[in-house]
Amino acid sequence: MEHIRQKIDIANKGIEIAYTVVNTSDWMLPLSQHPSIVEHPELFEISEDVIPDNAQYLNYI
Amino acid sequence: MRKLILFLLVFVSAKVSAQVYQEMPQYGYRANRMVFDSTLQIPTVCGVPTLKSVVKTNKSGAIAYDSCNAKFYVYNPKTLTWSEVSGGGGGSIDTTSLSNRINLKLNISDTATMLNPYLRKIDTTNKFVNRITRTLGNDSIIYFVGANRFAIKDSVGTNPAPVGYYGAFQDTTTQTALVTNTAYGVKLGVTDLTNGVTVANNSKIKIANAGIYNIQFSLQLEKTGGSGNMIADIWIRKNNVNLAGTNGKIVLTGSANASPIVAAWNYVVAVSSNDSLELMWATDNLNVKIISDVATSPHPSTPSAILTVTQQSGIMAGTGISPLDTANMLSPYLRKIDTLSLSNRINLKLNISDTSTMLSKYLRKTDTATLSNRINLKLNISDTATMLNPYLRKIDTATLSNRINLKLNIADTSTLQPKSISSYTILANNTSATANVTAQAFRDTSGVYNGTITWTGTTAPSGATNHTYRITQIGKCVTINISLVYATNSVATTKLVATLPSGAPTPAQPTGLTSASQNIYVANAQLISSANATQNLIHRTTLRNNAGNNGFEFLIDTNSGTVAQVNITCQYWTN
Repeated sequence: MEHIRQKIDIANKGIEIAYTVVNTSDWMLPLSQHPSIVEHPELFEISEDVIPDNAQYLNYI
Repeated sequence: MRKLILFLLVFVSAKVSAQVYQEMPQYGYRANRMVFDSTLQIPTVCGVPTLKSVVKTNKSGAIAYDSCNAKFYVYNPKTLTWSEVSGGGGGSIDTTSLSNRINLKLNISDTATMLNPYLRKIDTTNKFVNRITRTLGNDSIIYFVGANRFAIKDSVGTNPAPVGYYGAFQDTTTQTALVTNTAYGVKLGVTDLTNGVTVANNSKIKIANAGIYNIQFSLQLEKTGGSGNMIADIWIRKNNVNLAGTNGKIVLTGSANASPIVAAWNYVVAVSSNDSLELMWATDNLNVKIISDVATSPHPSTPSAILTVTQQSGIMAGTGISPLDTANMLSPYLRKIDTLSLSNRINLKLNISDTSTMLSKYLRKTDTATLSNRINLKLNISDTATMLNPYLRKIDTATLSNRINLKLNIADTSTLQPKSISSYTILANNTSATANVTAQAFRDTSGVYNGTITWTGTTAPSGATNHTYRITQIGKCVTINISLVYATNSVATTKLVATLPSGAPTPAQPTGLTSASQNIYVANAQLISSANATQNLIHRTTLRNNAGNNGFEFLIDTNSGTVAQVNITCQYWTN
């Protein structure tokens, strides 16, 4: 499912790292217009990867 | 008178004028045998011409045409000869093609060169070779086998395909038995094919060459009268002796003259040179006959018997070698001499039969009775079983086995220790009086935190994580500690919600605190930017019913800050 995630440090890939999904359940517009993407594209990105079971969530403000 | 005549002649001659020349007519002049007009037509002759008048030497030539042979002749007045005129330059008839054709022909001088390779340049008279070398695939050779026999090896095989000896015979007479159950040779009066296999005495098959032969026969049996079943036996004899196991029985049934049977099978027989084979038959009823019949359209005649002999192995015909040859061939290698001395030498040897006499004097013929008696006193091995039998313990093993079965195995000892305490329990007295112990809940467990974490802020803490929990339950009191450790700080975090891990006992909801989002137990939380940070954000927070009132969560509100580690401790009760 397409979602916004907090960018992952590539150096940490392969170990148990935090996978943070931005909570967009109340966002009706395209994800590309979400404030997290608009304001901090260097920190967030849109992904179609499968969300892992141990993902944590972020209410972006 | 004579004078008068002479006078008249003189007078007349004086009166005659000389011949006056006249020009030739416009289109030619004809003389005897010649015409002068648009062409010169000359006299024709048949064969070599001859002059009709004498031509003086060196005076006149002549020409003539031999119309019989189409030849032109000219006469040479100097030599007084006729010569045929031929050729003459400018001839255009076929001389070029004729020349070319001639060029294609052999010159005699060429034949010497051509024949040279085939000339035997040495004297081969009375010359012989002992061995011919054959180039496989190119040469076929004829070679000496022995005696006066020769054989051929072709260019591709070792020998021409050998053809076995064979014979094909039949008989056109109806054959009857004169006496029941008496052997008769099957007659074979007609020889169709023969090569090393012949018939003698009308029924005996003579085989000249040793080998394995296939004997195939068919007999036209018929019941010619009487009633009931009748039997014919058929077998073969070799050199006038029945061959064991060769008989076959044919039962003739049905009406007379209406149920012919063809008895046919084959034998494969090993024979020596000049052995004889004979197909025999016998019957229990003289009405059984081997019948023949004449040809009736559409079929040809019916022989009473047909028998063929074909060689299966042995020295085949056509190989150039016969058994007789092999004797001649092997003869030079036989040791025919010295057998006398050999025999003499053998005569000097001992015969086995002599040893008895020779050894007799060395035999101990006495005292065997005593020896036998002494031996009789010894034990036989077979006696030991009887002797030992009284000492064998043959009884009570069943009882012994049963007794053993009642004993403990070492492996059973582990099950002897009672495991009467249920999992996650302790024994205690949870009453106000003296009582027996009862099982109370007890649990101390830990693991990777598996609840759901929701941050509020600009970014959540990130990077490598180390999330754990530990739960200790004594009775209905539960103490839980959750540690969430990250490698990278969050940004502007203002809230954290972390659900109870799935292994945690379900909190008991105090009366009046059963609705969604109601706080049910107090908890402490510490939010810090790193494990060694001096800045601590310690909050007294709460364990509450979640918004859906279908679970429990810790809610931590804080001032905006950076967080890389969270420690939550809470004590609550369960039902």
